Amino acid sequence: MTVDEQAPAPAEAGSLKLSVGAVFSAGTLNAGRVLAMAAAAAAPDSSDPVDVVLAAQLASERPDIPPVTVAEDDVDPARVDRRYSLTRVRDLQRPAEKGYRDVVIMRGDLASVLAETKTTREDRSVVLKNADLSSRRGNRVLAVASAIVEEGDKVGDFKFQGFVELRSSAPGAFADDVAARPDSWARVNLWSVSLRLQHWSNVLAIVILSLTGFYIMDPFFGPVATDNAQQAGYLMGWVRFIHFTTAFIWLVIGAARVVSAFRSRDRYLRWPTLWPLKKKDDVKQLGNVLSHYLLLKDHAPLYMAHNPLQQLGYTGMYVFGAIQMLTGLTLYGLVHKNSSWFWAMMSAPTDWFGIGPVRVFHAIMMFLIWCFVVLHIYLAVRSDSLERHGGISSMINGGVWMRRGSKPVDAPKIG
Amino acid sequence: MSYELSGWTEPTLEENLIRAGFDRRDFLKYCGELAAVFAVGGAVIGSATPASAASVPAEVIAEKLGAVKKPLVVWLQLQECTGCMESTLRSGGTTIEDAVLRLLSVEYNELVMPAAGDAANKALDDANAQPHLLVVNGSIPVKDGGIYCTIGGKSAEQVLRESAKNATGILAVGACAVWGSVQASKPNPTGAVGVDAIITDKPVVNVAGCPPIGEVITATVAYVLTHGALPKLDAQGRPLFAYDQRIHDSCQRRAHFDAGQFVRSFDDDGARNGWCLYEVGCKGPSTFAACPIIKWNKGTSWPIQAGHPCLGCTEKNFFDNYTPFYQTLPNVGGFGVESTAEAIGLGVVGIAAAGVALHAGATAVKQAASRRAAEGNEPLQAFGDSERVWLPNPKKVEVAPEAPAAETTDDSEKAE
Repeated sequence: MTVDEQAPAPAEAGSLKLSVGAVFSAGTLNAGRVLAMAAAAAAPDSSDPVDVVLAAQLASERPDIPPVTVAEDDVDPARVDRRYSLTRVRDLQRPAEKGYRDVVIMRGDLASVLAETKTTREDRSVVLKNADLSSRRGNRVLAVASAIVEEGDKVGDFKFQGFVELRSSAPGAFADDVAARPDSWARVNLWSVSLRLQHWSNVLAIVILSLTGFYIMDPFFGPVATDNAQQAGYLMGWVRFIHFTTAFIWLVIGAARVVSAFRSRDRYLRWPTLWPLKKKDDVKQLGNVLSHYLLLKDHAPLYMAHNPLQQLGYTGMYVFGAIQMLTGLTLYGLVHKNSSWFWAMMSAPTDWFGIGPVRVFHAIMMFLIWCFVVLHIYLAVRSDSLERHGGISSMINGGVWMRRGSKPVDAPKIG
Repeated sequence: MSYELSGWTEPTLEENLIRAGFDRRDFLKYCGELAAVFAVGGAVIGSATPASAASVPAEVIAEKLGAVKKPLVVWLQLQECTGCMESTLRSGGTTIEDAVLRLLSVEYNELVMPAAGDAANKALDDANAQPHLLVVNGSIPVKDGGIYCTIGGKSAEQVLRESAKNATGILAVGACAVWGSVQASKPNPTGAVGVDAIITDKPVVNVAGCPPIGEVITATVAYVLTHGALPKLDAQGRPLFAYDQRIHDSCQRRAHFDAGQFVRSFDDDGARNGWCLYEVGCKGPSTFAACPIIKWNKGTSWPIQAGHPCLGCTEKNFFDNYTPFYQTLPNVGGFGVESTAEAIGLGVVGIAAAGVALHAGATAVKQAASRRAAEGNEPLQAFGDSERVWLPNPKKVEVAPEAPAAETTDDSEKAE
């Protein structure tokens, strides 16, 4: 597994039309002071739409508060992996205290800021409730926290001050195209060549075996006796020949899969991956995945490879495949069962259950595999279009795309 | 031709036959036919030869069979329809088989014996007391103390156990005696079972079929008499010389199967042209029997030749496992609903597809709702956005491990 190293570029500002809504104060400052603090956390002459609209709002709403300018070097902008900015404001007059102090303002995403500040559970729930109401009205909330720089440049604890509502007046100006921001994604080479080869050779085998198998079960087309052309042909003969030949090739593929489960260097091919529920957390995540699929949760836990439910599905598919191989050999062996001890052994289930039930079982298993195929294709398309990880193309070129700064459950943080 | 047969008066079978008016030529002819039946087992190249039956020439059979001395046979008819006995008695209509059967000294058989009442019971008791060959037609109902089939006040199970005690060989002839046949099929109200479910301490030869071919029955009896041992059996106890090949693999219509030429309904041109009956439910591919080779009624015909699909009557549980008879695959039972595997399978796949469509629809609706709610959420640098913020989950993005305070301090130091 390799991660292409690329430095994350700052998000493009674009020409957005933003407006400032209400200001929520969480602590001792009044709303105007929170707004001023939010506006202060900006580089001089910043063209960032948020900085511009905050400065304009402060000037029009609270002309009595003088705007603060800070030096360029004192601003540490927000990043993908640290979703707030840190700005040092020097010699700020604190209304509640005597004298001037340096203050560090933390400004950015609410969850990230809250995570860095010490707030009581009650305060936090009030903040979250208000932020939730605000975002339901289509706003984004820009959280503000501050800390006083003590003697000796020691930065004290951050105190959550409040948030400012921001609203776009030009909706729909998304950066919709993932390719437009390639630098915020990292390509992870996940699937080895042998794994991909296994996958597609299985696909081919299952398609051929299903089509020919269905015809053997129900020869729903073929020559009709009223045809003038009396060329008999060899339709069922060919269908059965293709079915049996493909079946034996599939057996070889299956044997290769068993070998790679023990010998492969690719950890996604080795046998321990077949059982995903190793820790308690895996079971919890399985529940999370399930509730996402039941549309109860917006977001599934982020997995780079397979989530637990997915892996259980694939392991089940291996079981289905093994059953089909064995019952197939059982039925194939009928013609040889009285002349060879091997085929007598393989065909033994027909003596226990009867030949008819084994045939039905073989057919029903085929339909269950079709169900798997339907669900598998749907979920692959769905997760690729929702999460944009290129999951479908990854089975061709081997690479998935992960958002920088994301932390998958099953892999280290994506840099 | 008609012969006077007055029972077994001379020491051996051959002498008896000659006395009755047969010449050795007739007898050899019959033995040749038997040899042909046995040879079925040797037809597969490289097969495990069933007790070297294939290599037994007619002369040897004639010699052995001719030297047989009045073998004692008890032929029970339990819970059955007499079809097997009919098949045996009419196996081609040749009187020679008839003669053999009468000359076998069948001490007890309800259908053909003249005796009745106490005389019949005494004949049975006398025969049971000596070593004898036991042939059984019919199943044994064991439910409710076996009251569903009683003979002379004894349950079928009791009759069978008494006759099996001194038996030197046991032949279960017909599907009823082999596994219970129609009366043992669901729901099996009388608890019918086959002979080998009752007699577990002796080997039982299962001459399967409903009924078995007459020649196969007499061949099995003759095999036991000539070899003095049971024939080689398959996993279900059927003599390999007659049951080692699938009907499908010797079927005269097989070429039509391979060509994909199928009868679609019994009145179509395919049926008139003698095409393969697989699509109208032929169980030939799932049935081991000698029908296509020996045929019925002295080689006159057999079901598939006559245009009817094979029902698979030599296979265990064929009434449950192979029905409906006119469908390729048996039905799949459920909670009172019976349907074909194909209907169920396609239905399940359809349900999966419908579920997928519904789920995709719900996902789309939810996505649209979340898009609407988030309208105006363009990526903003002030929030550290790099893309649309609700995917995959902004809350999952972790805060960088370095302490913000320390970093700020560094910055401010730089600034100073």
